[in-house]
Amino acid sequence: MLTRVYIDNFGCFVNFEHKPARKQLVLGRNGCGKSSYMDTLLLLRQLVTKGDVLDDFSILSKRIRWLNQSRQTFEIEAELEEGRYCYRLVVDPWGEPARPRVVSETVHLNDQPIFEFQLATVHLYNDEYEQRAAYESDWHRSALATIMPRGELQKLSGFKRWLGGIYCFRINPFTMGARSEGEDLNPRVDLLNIASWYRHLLQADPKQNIALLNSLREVMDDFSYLKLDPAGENIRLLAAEFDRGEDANAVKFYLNQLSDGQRCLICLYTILHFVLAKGSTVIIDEPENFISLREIQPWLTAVADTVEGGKGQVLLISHHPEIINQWAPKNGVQFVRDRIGAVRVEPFRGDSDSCLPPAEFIARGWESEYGFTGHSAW
Amino acid sequence: MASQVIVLGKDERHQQLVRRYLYRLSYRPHDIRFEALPSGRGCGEQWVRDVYADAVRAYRNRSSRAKTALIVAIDADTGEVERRLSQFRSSLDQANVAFRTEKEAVVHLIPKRNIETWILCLNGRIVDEITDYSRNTDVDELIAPAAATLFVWSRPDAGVPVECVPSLRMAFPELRRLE
Repeated sequence: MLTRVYIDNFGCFVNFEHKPARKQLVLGRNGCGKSSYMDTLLLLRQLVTKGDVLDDFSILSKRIRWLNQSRQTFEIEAELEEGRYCYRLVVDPWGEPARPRVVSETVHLNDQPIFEFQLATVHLYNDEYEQRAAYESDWHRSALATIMPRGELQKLSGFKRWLGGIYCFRINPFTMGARSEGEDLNPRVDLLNIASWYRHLLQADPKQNIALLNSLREVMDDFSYLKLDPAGENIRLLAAEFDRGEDANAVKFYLNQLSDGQRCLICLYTILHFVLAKGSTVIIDEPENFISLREIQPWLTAVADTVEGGKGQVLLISHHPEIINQWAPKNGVQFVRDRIGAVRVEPFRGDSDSCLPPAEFIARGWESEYGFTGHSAW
Repeated sequence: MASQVIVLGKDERHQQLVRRYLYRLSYRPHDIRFEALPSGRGCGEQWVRDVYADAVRAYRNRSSRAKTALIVAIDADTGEVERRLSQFRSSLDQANVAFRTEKEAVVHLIPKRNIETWILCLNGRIVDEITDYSRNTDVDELIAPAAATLFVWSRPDAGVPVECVPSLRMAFPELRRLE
């Protein structure tokens, strides 16, 4: 599970540290860095798993202007089966015109190095923490991305696999279509490729599909099942079939013919059963979008059941009263941004005297008046 | 079986125990509605008492249309269970709402001293109703097995161990109101 994220000199983050819990709600006003936080994790995942050059991410332009500091630092810590992993990436500008380069990229397991990339040289360690190889690598991209899984690097490969398996979602039903031209192993952030991702999931884990269909039957009236209709060579169209009672034929709607809310429900329960229930770390930005009020709490409860059952880790970013009222008292943290722009994390503390629901407390802006946040900028 | 169960729980642990107990009775997340918790950590009891009368009124309104249940879970703390019940009565009196009848599915769960006492007791620990166990670190992991035991102990004619605390014994007939 993800246990710590540190970001310095990137976006709105200066010396920023967040220690996520297994189940957490991230709160905060507009512009306080909640979505940027998810974007930063996405960036790191992309760098480390895809090996894209740093230039592709405009990293240097996201340095904090007032900080007058060239180096940017990112750290990710995770508690996995093998122990406590710490990944650290330091980037600075190099050359003329300046391009971002990796000053240092390291992975430690239980405080011992298992991977080091410094001054363009990679030092690789085997599972017994013995140095096995040293070679040069391009410092304009992550060298960890170039490491292929192999026998004596199980621990390093395990971490890389875990990092690649952090799922971030910002579901956008407008972009989703029914058409699938093949299986997609990974979902896009907006789930534009839900049809192709579901096609893959269905093949990879049909048992979870039964759980998904059962959940959808509870939340969508008359829903029967999902199907992938053939529509040409290797082309499928994702459709939902609905029963109309014993005397009537079932009616089929392709994904693009469903309502925005129905598409989101399919996505949310797909994430629940195929990702979270398999033990992954999932971050969802505003999961409640397009969902009817009646359906938010049951999904939230199902998520809590999964996580409390010891599976997966979930971070929700939300402004919705329904989610705030359920999760903020015990599982809420606030991102707080002071006047000069740095973001910090504080536990959510409600008003112990007035018994206001948390969402009302926040709607009144009282969370920043009680001295918890330690600033007067608002 | 009610088509919807409304849960008025003092905090998240109360909600969790009730939720997992309801799963044992074959309820699904979609059948259960949790009222919002208050924002402060110290005012759950007051909040439950404040909203109790409205919750009973809403329960009766819906019960006339569809089978509904209301579960209220609040700690007795250092007082007696009966003190909470009389507080409920006076809340209803002030709101001009009648107290629950024998047949109504309005369930009062009042752990003494607090919900952690029940959770530990249901996990086979020897507990009393005076000690405050709320800071025990392992309580959250014990909620699911506690709910399973609660289901077994609350069955008619179930063999309940002598170590079961009195406030928990009082909950068994309450839970049968759901049937």
